[in-house]
Order: sequence, then structure tokens, then C-alpha cells
Amino acid sequence: MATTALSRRKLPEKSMSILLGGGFLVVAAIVWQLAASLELVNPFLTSSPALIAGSLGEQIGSGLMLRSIGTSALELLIGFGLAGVVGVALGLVMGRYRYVEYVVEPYVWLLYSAPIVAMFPLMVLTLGLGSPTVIAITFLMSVVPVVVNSAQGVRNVDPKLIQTAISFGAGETALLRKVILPASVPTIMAGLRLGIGRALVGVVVGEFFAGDGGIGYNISYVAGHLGTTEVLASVFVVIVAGVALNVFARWLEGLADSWRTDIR
Amino acid sequence: MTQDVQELPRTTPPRVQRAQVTRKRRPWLPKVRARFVLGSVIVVLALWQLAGQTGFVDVMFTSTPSAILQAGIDMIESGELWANAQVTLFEYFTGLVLAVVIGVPVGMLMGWKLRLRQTFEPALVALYVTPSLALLPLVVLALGIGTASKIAMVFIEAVITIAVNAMAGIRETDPKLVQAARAFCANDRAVFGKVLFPSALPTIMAGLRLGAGRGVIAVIVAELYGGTEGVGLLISTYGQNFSIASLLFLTLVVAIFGYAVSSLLRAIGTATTSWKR
Repeated sequence: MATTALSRRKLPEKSMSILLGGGFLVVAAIVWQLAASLELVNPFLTSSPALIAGSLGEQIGSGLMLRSIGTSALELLIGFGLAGVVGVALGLVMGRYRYVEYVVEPYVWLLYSAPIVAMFPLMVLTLGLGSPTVIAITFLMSVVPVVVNSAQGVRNVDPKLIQTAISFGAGETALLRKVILPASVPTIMAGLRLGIGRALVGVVVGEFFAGDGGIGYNISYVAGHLGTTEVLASVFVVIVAGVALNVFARWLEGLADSWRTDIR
Repeated sequence: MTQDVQELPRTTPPRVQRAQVTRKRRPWLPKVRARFVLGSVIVVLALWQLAGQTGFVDVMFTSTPSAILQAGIDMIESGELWANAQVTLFEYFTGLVLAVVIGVPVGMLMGWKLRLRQTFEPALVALYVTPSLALLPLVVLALGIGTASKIAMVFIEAVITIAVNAMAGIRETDPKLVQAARAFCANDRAVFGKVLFPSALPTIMAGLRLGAGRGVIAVIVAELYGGTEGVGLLISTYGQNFSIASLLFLTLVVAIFGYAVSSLLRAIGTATTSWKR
């Protein structure tokens, strides 16, 4: 009884939020379209949803969109993949051994506050213009949250668990694999989620300055030719990618954490 | 029952031990940390300098700490750094203040009024998880390469983070507190000023810190992208001349500035929400 009453009250509430949230986006698009069609605003500067949709269709049709997404996705995958592997490994070691943490700490914070993109001339000099530089920028942008969260995760592992494992004769490898890693997975996953957000920034902004292809390069290139519509079409793709990556990361986070909820 | 039996013999000895350990460790623990941090920095700087001087690595790519220091001194003495930093600081703080003035009230309002939140949250969150720096070329198209586009970029980067956090802060307020205040006949203003706002303040401050950090990157990237003055332009100019020492010095300055702003905001956050702990 109580559950049905609850679900009956919750269901309209949920559809209400979808209705209002989706409705706002639709209304905003319509107002934008009308304003552009009636020439209340300068369509050259503001473009319009119809123009953007047309441009998207055209770019998909010509294969440019797919190629750009492929380039950017590959850069994201390699840059963030490296950041994930290096970040988790470094974070685990930092969290486990205090002295390693003290030694590495200043550089992590330096990397976090430094405008990585500003160093692109240096990277272009060593890695050349194009994907390798973008990958390096992506890696440097996204590695810090992964390191910091992984270290925090290890530090937060219940010391009793570690003591128990040690008293049962667990070596360092077993301790890491069977106690520390499983216990710190939620924090590590949160770090990876933060990292992938920054990785996307790295790919897009890296391509602005040092790319030779990809979504960010497209945005910067067509903006140079005053193509507001094409810029907005690419920005739309970036927004969709950002939302999709975040949803995916949250889903993975939930998945990694699902065995834990049973205990609570 | 079982818990009691288990805990009784355990509690006494560890507590004594722990007290001893903390008494022994507290005084020297920060010192060890400082010593290791300082040692690590000195060793890395020394190795870097040595590697550069002996020609082990190409100075063209890596520069050396002494060259970076020299480049920094030159830039400070010629007034080049301060002249450009002034412009950047103005753009940064104007954008940030605008973001705070608009982001905090809007975020709080969205956290407070359910219908408002339901309407705007999807759009806001979509912008929150996407790199707003992708809008940079568009902002430059609309506002030109002058100061206005930089202020706009800092504003866009910071305001979304600040609004999302202000909204979360209000929403995380314990509903029991609001109900209790209502039961004592508090009107909307009192509920807001005495319950919701104090409860949301720590999260709002965290949002300010994150927004300020993102703003630093935004102003530099916007100036790098195109501009007529500012630290970002300086970086871009030195970068194009492959004057790596100056480039690294400026990057370091920006990093220290970003770190300082975020530490300052953290300190302010702790001071204004001391009752939280």
C-alpha cells in the first residue's frame, strides 16, 4: 500500500521534471528559430537551430563529422587511457607510501593549477603538430584528479582491514589486490569521472591550438572563416559527447559500487 | 551482545597506544613532510640544472631553472610582466565577480524552487559536463578579440560551476531543519536567511573555489587564442619565438596564482563555515 502511494506520487513528479526540462530546451530552440527567421537578431551571428541541423546533416553526409569524431575520440581514448593507468598506479603508490606522496605532491599540485594548454608551443616543438601533442595535453589535464582521488581512496581504506590481512600473512601484492584496490574502487572511479571531464577539455582545447583534425580543430578552423553555424554544430557534438561521457562514467561508477550497496 | 564482548578487551590497550603515537608524531610529522617536499623540489631543480648545463638534454627544449629565473627577472624589471598581468587580472576578476553575483543567486533560487530547478537543471548540467571552452571561438566571433571576450569566457566557465554548486548546497539542506523553522512560523525570508543559506554556504564556497580555478585557465586560454595584451598573449608570443624559459616562467606564475586564489578561497571557506566542524 505504502509503496504504491509513494510511486503514484513520484511518477508524475518524475515526468514533470522531464516535461519541464525538455520543454525548456524545446521552447528555447523555437524562440531561437523564430528570432532568427523573423530577423529579430542577426542570423549571421546567432545562426538558428534549423541551420545547425542542416549543417550537422551535411557534415555527417560528407563524412567530415565521422572523421573528426574519430580523430578526437582516438586522442581522448589514448590520452585518458594513459592518464587512467598512470594516475591509478601513481595514486595507489602515493596513498600507500607516505614518503612517495611527500616527494610527488608538489608536482601534482603544480600540474593541477598550471595552464597546461599554455605549454603547447613546447609540446609542438618536441612532439610535432597534431595528435601526439593533443594526446599529451589530454593526458596532463586529466591525470591529476585520477592521482589525487586514487591516493585518497587508498588512504581512506579502513586500517583494520589492512591489519587483519597482514596478520593473516598477506604480502604486499595480496594486500593491494585483495584489500586496498577493492576498498578504494569507488573513490578511484570518482577520480576517473572527474578526469574524463578534464580530458574532454584537453582534447577540444588542445586541438584549438595544436590539432590537425578533430572536433576542436573544426571549431577553431570554421570560426576563423566566420562560420557560426558550423561552429555551433560542432559545439553541439561536444555537448552531446560531454553528456554521454558523464552518463557512461556514472553508470560505470554505479556498477563498480553495486556490490557494496548490499551491505548497507 | 556479541559486539560488547568483542569490544571490551580491545578498547583499552589501543587507546593508550594511539595517544602515545599521536603525542610522539604530531610535532615531527609536518616537519618530515616539509623536509621531503623541499628536498624533492631541490633535487629535481638541481638535476634539471645539471642536465641542462652538461648538455645531457637539449636546453632548447627544456631550458634550465637558472635561465627561467633570469627570464623572470628580466620580465619583471622591464615592467612587461606587470603591464600584462594588470590586464589579465582585471579581466579575470571582473568575470569572476560577475559570475559570483549572478551564479550564486540563480543557483540558490534553482535549488529552492522545484519548478525552476526542473526547468533549467538539464540545460545547466549539460553545460556543466561539457568543456565550455569549446564556446571560445564563438565568443570571440561575437565579442571580438578584446577584453570583453575574455571577461565573457571567465564568466561562462565560472558561473556554471558556481550555480551548480549553489543549487546543490540548497538541495542538500536537511529538510527537517526547514520543517522545524516552518513549525516555528518562520517566513520565507527567515527560512532562507537563517536555515538554507548557512547550510548551503560550505558547498557554495566549494563552488567558488572550483569556479575560480576554472576561470584562471579560461582567461589564459582566451588570451592565448587571440588578443592584444595580457599574460596569455605574452605566453603565446614567447611560445611562437620558442623562448622556452620565458614560457615556463609565465606558466609557473599562472600556476602559482591559481593555487594562491584557490588556497585563499579555501581559507575563507573554512573561516566562514567554522561552525560546520
